[in-house]
Amino acid sequence: METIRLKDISKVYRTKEIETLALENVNLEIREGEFVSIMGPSGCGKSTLLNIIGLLDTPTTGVVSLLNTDTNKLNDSKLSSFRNRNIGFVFQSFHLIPSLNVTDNVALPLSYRHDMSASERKKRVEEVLTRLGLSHRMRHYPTQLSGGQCQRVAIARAIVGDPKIVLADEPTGNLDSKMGQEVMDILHQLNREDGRTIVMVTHNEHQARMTDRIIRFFDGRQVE
Amino acid sequence: MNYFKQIIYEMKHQRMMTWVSVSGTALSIFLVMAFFITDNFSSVDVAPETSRSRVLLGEGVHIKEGDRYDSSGMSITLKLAEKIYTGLDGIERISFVRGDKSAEQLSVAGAEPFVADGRKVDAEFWKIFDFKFIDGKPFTDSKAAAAERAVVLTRSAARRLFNEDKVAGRDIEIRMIPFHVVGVVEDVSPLLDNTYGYYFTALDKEQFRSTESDDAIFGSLKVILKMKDGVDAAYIKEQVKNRYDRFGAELKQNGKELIYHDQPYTGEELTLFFGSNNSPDIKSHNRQQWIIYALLLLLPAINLSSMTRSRLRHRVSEIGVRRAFGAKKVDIIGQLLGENLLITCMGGIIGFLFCILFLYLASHLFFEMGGSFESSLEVLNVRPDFSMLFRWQNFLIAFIVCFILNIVSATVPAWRASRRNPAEAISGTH
Ligand SMILES: Nc1ncnc2c1ncn2[C@@H]1O[C@H](COP(=O)(O)OP(=O)(O)OP(=O)(O)O)[C@@H](O)[C@H]1O
Ligand SMILES: [Mg+2]
Repeated sequence: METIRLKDISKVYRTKEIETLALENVNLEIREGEFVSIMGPSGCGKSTLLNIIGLLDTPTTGVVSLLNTDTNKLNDSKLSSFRNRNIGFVFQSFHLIPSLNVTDNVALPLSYRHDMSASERKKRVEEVLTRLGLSHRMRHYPTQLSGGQCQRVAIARAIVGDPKIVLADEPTGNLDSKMGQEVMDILHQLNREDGRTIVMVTHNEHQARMTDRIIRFFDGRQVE
Repeated sequence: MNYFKQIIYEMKHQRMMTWVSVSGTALSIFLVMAFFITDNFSSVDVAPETSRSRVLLGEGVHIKEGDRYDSSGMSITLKLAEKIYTGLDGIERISFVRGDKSAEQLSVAGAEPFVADGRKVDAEFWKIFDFKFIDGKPFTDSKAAAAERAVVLTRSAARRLFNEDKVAGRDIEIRMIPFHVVGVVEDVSPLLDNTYGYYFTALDKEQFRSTESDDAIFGSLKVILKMKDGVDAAYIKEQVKNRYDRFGAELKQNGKELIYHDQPYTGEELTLFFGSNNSPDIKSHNRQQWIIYALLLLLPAINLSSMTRSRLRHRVSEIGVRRAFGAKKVDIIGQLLGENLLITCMGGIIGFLFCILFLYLASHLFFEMGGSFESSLEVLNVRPDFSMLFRWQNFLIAFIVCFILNIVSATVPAWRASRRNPAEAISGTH
């Protein structure tokens, strides 16, 4: 069964001066539980693709279907709750909210679930933080953490809502190789142990080769 | 509750912006509330004027004789007052008082003489208003009280003369004439135009009657009417207008035209300073008020709005991240409006407290502007009653103003922020 299916996806960015064809006729299927790397030179459309898969942006043409749901048919509010339940994001520059402490950052996705009790939320947050070895950093603010710790908090936030899909855009891009390896280990663990489908953008050949499949892009087109 | 923690953090970490936003709001609330509270002093019930909505003032005549003669005045003769205001339906009590306060010298052996505002009132006056007597009693027979030269002092006057409060039965001199103190009342705020005074002497109608010529119209009296509970001022005005018409017809025979100007007046109307040859125009006054309120609100709202926008600029990627993790547009709008309301309310509380403090301490500034004091000597010392300032209505209005300020200043920025494409918001492009 395909968890992610992209059909004839194109994305054109229009600004006043120029039109950029960021993605051109992309067709892609990713199975449940697959760990896929996306590679390609800068500007070839990797982030654009991930944003479209993550329902953060809409394609100019084409159909995105996730978990057998045709997402073109969802309105903004439905898209929001779909993201909330099914997709977790990890970004290159972490994007933790600086004014929230670790616990509150991790709890963010749960705060938009109105069917979950406060105690249940607290329990879930503590569970993931413990799993990621952050239980002693719960009251810290992002500025008080190292880059590796920040990315672990971000991963905790991405999985606290138990999403089927995790999208990571250069998750190790801002980390040194040791911390980068740590993050990769965690992602592999999430894939193996939880069976989450992971799509990761990376520039690191070595990391990519460790995943199930590498998809290469060039100039908005899939080349491999 | 997380929002609360977050906003506190934001405020700590964006000090300059917080400071400007909070103080801007505080200033706005300060101005609006100073305006609102002083504008409404005329309708606040506070001792001794505890039923102001039921009290009307009968005063003012305006006479014309062709183009040659146009004369008007606030105070009227007893004869005119009786002709027009006695026996009206719906009136519970009627009191005749001197139209103006007079500043006279009070003295007693062994104390420094001083000049203070005095009123001449009849016995009914004490029944219409709710004076608190510290000592003695009000006089009940105007004629007898006038004959024996009775005077009711305020606490401040008593202290000043005798260094004590309970001085009923003692004698003082007013303009060197001996008077007999029959009672001492609690001080009255100068804001209470019908009852403010430092001392009160008795008014004998007969004395006035004998000194007035038959056809005199301009005199020195005014009439205080207390309506029965539930009676509408318009109903009284209608009857008074009929009396004016009837009396006007009499005057017409002498070639004089009597012009009716909506008498008798409510407290609210009397704050308008419309003069005796004009009618109070509550509608245009209210319109002006609304314009002033709108300006007082709008200008800071515009300022706050740009503050809100620049605060949001720092948080574009946060909003994108929240959207990515499931926040709907309404969640974002709700959060931002809620945060903003918190800031506005904080500014609101500060502005409100400063406003009350200001009105209390600097009261003489705006009381004197009314120009209704014969002797400004004591005015500096008399403060508005705190019960006139700390009214739930004032808190409610202050909160509503904060709310409006919030809606006006934050809705557009919040709505815009919620509509941003999440992908672009996260990466922080434009
Ligand atoms: N919001 C946007 N508006 C206009 N053009 C955009 C926008 N986002 C991306 N682009 C353009 O689309 C193309 C693809 O961008 P994208 O960010 O997907 O590249 P990428 O493969 O992720 O590159 P990198 O490896 O540097 O992150 C680029 O030419 C970029 O300039
Ligand atoms: Mg990219």
